[in-house]
Amino acid sequence: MTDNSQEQSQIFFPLKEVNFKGCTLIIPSVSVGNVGQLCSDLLIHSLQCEKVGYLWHSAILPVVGVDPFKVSSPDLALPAEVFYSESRKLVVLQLRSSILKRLRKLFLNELIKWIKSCGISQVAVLTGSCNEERIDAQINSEPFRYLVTSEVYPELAETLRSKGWTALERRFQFPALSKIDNQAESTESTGQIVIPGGGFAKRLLALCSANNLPCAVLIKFCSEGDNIPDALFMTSKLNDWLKMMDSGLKSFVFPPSWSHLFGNPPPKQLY
Amino acid sequence: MALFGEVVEPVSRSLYVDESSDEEDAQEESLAKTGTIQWVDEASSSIDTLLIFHGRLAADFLLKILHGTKSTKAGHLKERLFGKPSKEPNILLYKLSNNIYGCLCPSIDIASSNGALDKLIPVFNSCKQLVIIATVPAPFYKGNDPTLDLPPAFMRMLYTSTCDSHHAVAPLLEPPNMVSGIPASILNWCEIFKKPGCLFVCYSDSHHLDSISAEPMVTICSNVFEGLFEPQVLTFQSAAHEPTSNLYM
Repeated sequence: MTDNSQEQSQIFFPLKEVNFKGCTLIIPSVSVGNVGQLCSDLLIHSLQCEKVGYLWHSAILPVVGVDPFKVSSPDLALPAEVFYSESRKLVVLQLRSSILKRLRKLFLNELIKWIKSCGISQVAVLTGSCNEERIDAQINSEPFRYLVTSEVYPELAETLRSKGWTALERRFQFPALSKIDNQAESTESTGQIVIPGGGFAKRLLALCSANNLPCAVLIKFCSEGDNIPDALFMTSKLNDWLKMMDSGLKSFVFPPSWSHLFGNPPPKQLY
Repeated sequence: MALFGEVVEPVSRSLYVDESSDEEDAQEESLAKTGTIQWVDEASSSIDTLLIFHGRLAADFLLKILHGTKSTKAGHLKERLFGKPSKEPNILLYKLSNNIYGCLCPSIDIASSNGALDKLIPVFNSCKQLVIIATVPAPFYKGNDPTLDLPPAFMRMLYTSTCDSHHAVAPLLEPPNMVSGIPASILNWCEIFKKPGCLFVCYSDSHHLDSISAEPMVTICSNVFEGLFEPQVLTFQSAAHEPTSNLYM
């Protein structure tokens, strides 16, 4: 049942009464390779999350189709849908189209208001970052980083650090070939954080920090192409953190919408 | 479109990717709404059905049938949909019968679609149901069968959860096909705000309106709106013989 004190936000239109208090919210940033969105698709289909509402905002570019998770279902798929897994206390926002840059700030501000009103306990932002913009240290290591404002959420930072994950390096300038060279002079107050091709991930992290919402950004370095392996990698990392499926990647199932990702088969008349 | 020998950079699936998220949004806009529908006579307080035509072939179809009926122009919206003042009305409304109106929507950039929707919402609020007819080139259709095995013009549909099922005169649009732009914006609004609405997506491999490319739209008008149009109005010129190979575009 919905908490009576929960403030209704205009951005969220529920299909049924749900209580998100204490849940983890997964938000994909529309980014290079669509890694976050592919990962969200995997989570929604494999965990059998239930659609519980829509996000509606002028910043969300309009697209529509049928339900990508149920074959032959007449239910519509809208560009921004909210899914919920009660058993795992997980809320997944799926974005099927981009956010207009000129309205992005408005959208993110309203999104944060809604998140706070729901009582969400923590936010995980999934994003890709351009392979070609990696610095040397990133090329020579696992193509995965995380980002969390450790001084605000030390426990969350420690949790992710304890898994052997590498925090996203700071850079003096962007583009740059290497991270801050002189380790002795390197402090968290120098350099800047950049996520090339990461969409609104960094901006959302900053807003969550400003509103005292625990937030972690998971970053997968990738290029445009077949990004299913990148999505599987991201999902594996996310599962390692949130423990959604005990058997790991083996339990994750591809949704029906992943067919024809690269167009139709060649016409027979060619041969 | 790539010409022979031209190198074309791959397009990112992430539309409108913001490569520099550190930059401030220099042109942030508010959601201020400007422009309203200009009605010829008094705005209708209740419209049974609003037929919305989107796409080049759909626009040609609407203009063709308008010539053969006693339809009258009901209103227009002149707005900066393309980023500069428009000299011609962008969105046109026609009264097709006592309680059925037609709306001609131009093909505009997807980024402007929600803005156009905002202008039309007052009209939609006075409608009992919305029917959108969108024409799309056949190569945009994704399916198991190569497009050459499909008829030269075919139709798919989407409808909201509140829509009357008797409009189902076409198969559902199969995943992973999706519709974007104004048709999607309107159908999304219908679903969220519980307005009965359906979208007919008419695929055609022809750029010209003829008896073949018009067939899906004729089916809609004949079956869903039986009696609205005279049979001779829904008659179109036969398609000229064209090569069936698409190896050389």
